[in-house]
Amino acid sequence: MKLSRQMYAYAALIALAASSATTAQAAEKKTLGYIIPSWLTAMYETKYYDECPDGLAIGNDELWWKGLSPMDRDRLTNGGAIEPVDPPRRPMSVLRGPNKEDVCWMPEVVKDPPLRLVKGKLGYGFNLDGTDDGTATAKTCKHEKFTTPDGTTKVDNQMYRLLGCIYGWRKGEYVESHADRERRDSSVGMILIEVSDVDDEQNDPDVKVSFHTTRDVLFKDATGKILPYASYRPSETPHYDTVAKGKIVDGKLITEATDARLPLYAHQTTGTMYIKSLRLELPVAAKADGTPEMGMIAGYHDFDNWWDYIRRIESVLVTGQWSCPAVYVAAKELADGYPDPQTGKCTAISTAMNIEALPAFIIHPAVKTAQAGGQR
Amino acid sequence: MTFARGILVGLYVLLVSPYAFAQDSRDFYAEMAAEWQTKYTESPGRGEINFHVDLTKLTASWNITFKDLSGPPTSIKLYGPAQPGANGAAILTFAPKGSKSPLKGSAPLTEAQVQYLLYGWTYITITTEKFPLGEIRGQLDVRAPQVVTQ
Repeated sequence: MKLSRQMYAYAALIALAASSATTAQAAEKKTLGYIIPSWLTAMYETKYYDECPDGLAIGNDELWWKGLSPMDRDRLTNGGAIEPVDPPRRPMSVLRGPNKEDVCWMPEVVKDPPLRLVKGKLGYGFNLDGTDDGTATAKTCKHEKFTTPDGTTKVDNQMYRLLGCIYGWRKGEYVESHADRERRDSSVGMILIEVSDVDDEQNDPDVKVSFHTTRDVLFKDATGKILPYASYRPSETPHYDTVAKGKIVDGKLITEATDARLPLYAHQTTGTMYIKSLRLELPVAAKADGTPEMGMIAGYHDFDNWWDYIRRIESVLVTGQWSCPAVYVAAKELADGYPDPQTGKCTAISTAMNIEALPAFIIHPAVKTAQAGGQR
Repeated sequence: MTFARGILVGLYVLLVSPYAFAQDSRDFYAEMAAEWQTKYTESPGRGEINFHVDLTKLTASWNITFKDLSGPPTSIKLYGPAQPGANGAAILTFAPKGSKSPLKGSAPLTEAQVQYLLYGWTYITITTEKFPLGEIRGQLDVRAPQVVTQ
């Protein structure tokens, strides 16, 4: 009997200890942080432009030059000695409206030849509309789908269809690569991603994902390499703070669709990207060697917001080689998300961005400190 | 089952794979005229260029026709990289001492030259004694194939 009482006492102690441990574990939800030092529009590209059978897009300068009389072509370019990128040709060439309007700010004043579009079947992105064939739904307009090179079908990425045959938007060319370098050099427009309420970094059905920008500069080594596990404070303005529900499946973070405002800095232009129904997929575990993990952000870029960016970067029009009126018309036609209830025309365009993510500590002064993304 | 899977894989390769329908050649075309010269030039000369590039062998072949020039051509050359309305350097000489129409031939290309062609940054100019800088010019542009590539 005495022994039995002792056993009960030990059992009670063990139960109490176990209970405390469970409580402690429950309280130990992790928060993981990442900084996105690089993002580029997701493009599927072949060496000889198989996806662009009509050729690359006709640039603004070509349209301007061909619109002149042969004598003016010679006079205004000094027989071609003034190159398309040189002043005064460069700023002059965009003023080709009937009354010298800037055709990027007023893209409807002239009618250019149709933009040469991607006609391949392969592309990157997510199935954003949930359909098999891009048929119209209450939230989308009819469009064609892509298949990823690894065979994932039903992918929506009309932005790629729009921009994939424009010289300057292609991989390594000026429009995107220069903007990406600008962001890394200046630390402006950085995206922070914070994943909280994480119980299990491999599989967790319910996590919270917050998007911010940072007010800190990127931490780099002497060679300019951006360092993992650095500490960043979110910007004090809540403008960019977006919260999404997410889950972790086999080590990959997947968010539910949410409307987001992301920071934008490109070609010395600052702004905000309005991405509707944004989704993120990102491996949770950081690479042991400190190199970035690759993920993807996709959603519907609000057309007006996107066009505002395009017209503000008209200084790279010549280098990028596109025509604002042709892009404007094509983008309107390709828009596949969020139909206007009055007109039925879609007001947003599906897009996808490849992102690089580095683990980072996210510091909320006097509130909490997020741990860096888990190690492999 | 294996047979069915084989058919599915075959269909995938045919319809979706990046290698399916990939073109191993490209055709380019241009009309030549004095109005496309960067220097103002008055000439009734006209020409037509059909330019074929074999991407596996990196070779080009061409058929260039011309008429109504002020005199016999003194040179026919490919220039680049330059957009319409700009001047490039001579990168390929078709007929250094002139030629009669039609001019046909072939030559190897470098990878960079192929890329210039695909960018739309090459042109052909015919010079004559009266127009040493060029009497007629044509900017080469991709001629879309009849079937969608890829």
